Amino acid sequence: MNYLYIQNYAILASFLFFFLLEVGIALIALFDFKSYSEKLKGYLLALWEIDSTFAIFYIVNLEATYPKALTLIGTVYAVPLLAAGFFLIARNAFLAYSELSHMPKDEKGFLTLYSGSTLIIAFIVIMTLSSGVTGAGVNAHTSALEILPMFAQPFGIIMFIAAVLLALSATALCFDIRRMRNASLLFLLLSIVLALLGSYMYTSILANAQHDLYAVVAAAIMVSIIYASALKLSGYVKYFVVPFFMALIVLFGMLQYPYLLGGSATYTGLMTGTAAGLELVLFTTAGTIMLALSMAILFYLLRKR
Amino acid sequence: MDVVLFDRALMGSSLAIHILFVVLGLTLPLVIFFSEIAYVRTKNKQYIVLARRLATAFILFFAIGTASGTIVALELLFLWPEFMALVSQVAILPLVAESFVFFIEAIFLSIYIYFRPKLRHPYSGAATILIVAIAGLLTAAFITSINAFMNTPVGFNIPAYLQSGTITGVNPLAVFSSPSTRLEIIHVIFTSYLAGSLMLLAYFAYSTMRSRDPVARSYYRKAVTITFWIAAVAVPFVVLTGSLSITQLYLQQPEKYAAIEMNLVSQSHAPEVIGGIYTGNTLKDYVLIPNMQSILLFGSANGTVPGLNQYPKSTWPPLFIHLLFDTVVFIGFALGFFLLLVVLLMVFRKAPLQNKLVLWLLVLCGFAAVIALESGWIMDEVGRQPWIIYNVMPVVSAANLSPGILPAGIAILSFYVIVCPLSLLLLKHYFNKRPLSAELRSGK
Repeated sequence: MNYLYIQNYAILASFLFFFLLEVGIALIALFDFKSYSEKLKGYLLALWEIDSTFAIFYIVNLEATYPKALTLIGTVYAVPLLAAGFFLIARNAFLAYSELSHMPKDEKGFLTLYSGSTLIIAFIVIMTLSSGVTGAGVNAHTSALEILPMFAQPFGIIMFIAAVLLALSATALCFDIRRMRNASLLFLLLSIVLALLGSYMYTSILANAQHDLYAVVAAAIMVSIIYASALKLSGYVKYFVVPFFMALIVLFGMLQYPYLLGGSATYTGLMTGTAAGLELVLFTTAGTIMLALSMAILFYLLRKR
Repeated sequence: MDVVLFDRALMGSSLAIHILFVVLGLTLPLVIFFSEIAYVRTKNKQYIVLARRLATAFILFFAIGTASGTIVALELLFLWPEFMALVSQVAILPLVAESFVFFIEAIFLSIYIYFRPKLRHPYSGAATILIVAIAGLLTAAFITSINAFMNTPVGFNIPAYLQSGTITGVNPLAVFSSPSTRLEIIHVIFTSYLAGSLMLLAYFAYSTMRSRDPVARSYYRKAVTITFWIAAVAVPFVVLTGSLSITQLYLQQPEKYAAIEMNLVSQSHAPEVIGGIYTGNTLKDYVLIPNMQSILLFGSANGTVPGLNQYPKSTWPPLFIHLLFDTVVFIGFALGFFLLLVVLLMVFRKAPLQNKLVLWLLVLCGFAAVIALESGWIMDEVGRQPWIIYNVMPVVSAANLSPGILPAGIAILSFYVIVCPLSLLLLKHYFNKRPLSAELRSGK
């Protein structure tokens, strides 16, 4: 498997993991404001900052890794992703406004708008990623996109529901929300079942599905077992959660390798040349080390708080 | 509407707004840093209140700036896919480096906002915000190097690309040292500090005049002093690098040089053209300073300046950029002289920053700085027309021609129109609810 693909997918997995937590916080803020105020409020801004910058990091790395895909992506997915951009401004603005609000009513109102915008972004992102896998709504030859088939694809909708459940589960675990502790296991299992169902339904277009599905099933079972045992070690749960949720995301991503758009394109065919690839890996590695150190300081301080 | 024109309008509007957040994002940590240092040195709590209130404003600008930055990144991809396809293969490393540095900026901003009161060492607050300031500066430098690449492309075999459209001979590190990179970075950074500090200075000068509470007035004066000195230090660098940039333009982008100087013909003893509107192949409403342009460029009236007549009309940039150039030069020199005058008055112990007329003029400087900043940027970008990458890729070849982007683009533009004033309104509301006088009295 190509090392540039792995690097790019690792960045996507990291972004999706942090974004998953933010989606989880957004959902909890919508439906359980008490838990949000008690447990999550202090973390949201830091998480949002990491998440927003990870989005930029991923976009730039995508541009660097797959330059030959840019014309295709730029033409085909311009409308849904610019729409996501619209909600991104909304989300950032509403979050900042909620931080500046003095009245709890205003804060809750802005936070509701922030949560709604975040969920819409999550929906657009997952439907776009799913369309990238299945090619739903895309005519690769004419570089045209039909919005309705793209947003009505069963694979994407199933993956969105699975992601929402996964988000709730990961958030409950990472931030130790005791009220959701037992439900989080159910959410996780349901999420895995739905993701597997989606993958199974689309076996024909997921290039490696037959082969990698076993790896996904194995990983899912392993996660569930470790998760269940970790429930008894409440303080340490969060340390298990991060790598396993990321592994889960990565494994689902690997299902499609080496094809994209339902087989119309391949990853390696759209990739940058090796000349720029080496420098890209070196820059990314150096940056990741700096990033890891900075994040370690931030999380150390957050934990001490 | 022409789709290419729409692409340009959308990108231009997004950048015009984003630039304002960028300059504030660059300057605010610097002002907070000096406030922190002043607090440690003097133990005057007004400085720490200033740092905290500015940090609150910074969060809001950072939030909107992050979103507008992401929008700009997406727009580059969606509006100019062919351009990004080339940049990604030849000049992507500054963007990769920028994304990391931006990350560090975000993380240390979080640390400053959340943990400033708990950091024990007296200089730890200053050190944390200094990291944010340095990261912001590097971000600006990396992004500017992409713009320098657009003006003076390097790092691949250009003749082969022009002939066959294939990218060969790639040196991805060359983008860091294109002929215009160094000067452009220095100019952009000091221009940003100047514009950002003058925008803040205008607000503080106005607040000083409005304030009736002597404690609050003393607080605003401190803010005026810090922002004034940042502007005063930045302005000579802006003037110097601006002048050098013009010389560089003559060497590297002669059509652009000819357009901004309104040189219709190549000639020696070239005059400096001030004003002028070009219609129907003739120039109207202008003033000439004989020989001045040749003297400024070559140190002698005998020097021959390039003229637009040397180039096909299809490669001429729109000539209104000459008026933008005049605006930038006029504002730049006016600001330079005014700030120098204020510094001289300070040397002679006249306390000019307490004078009402000076404060009003400083308010005016804030508006002038925004006009100069936007004019200078438009001049640089429009001046490169019809190229997106000079002499390599025309704008038309880079653009996304799908009309499908129109509704999403219009939605983004209209949302900016709502978000920007709403953000300022909410910031005002926030500070109204937390009166300065109460914070200054409690010192918390």
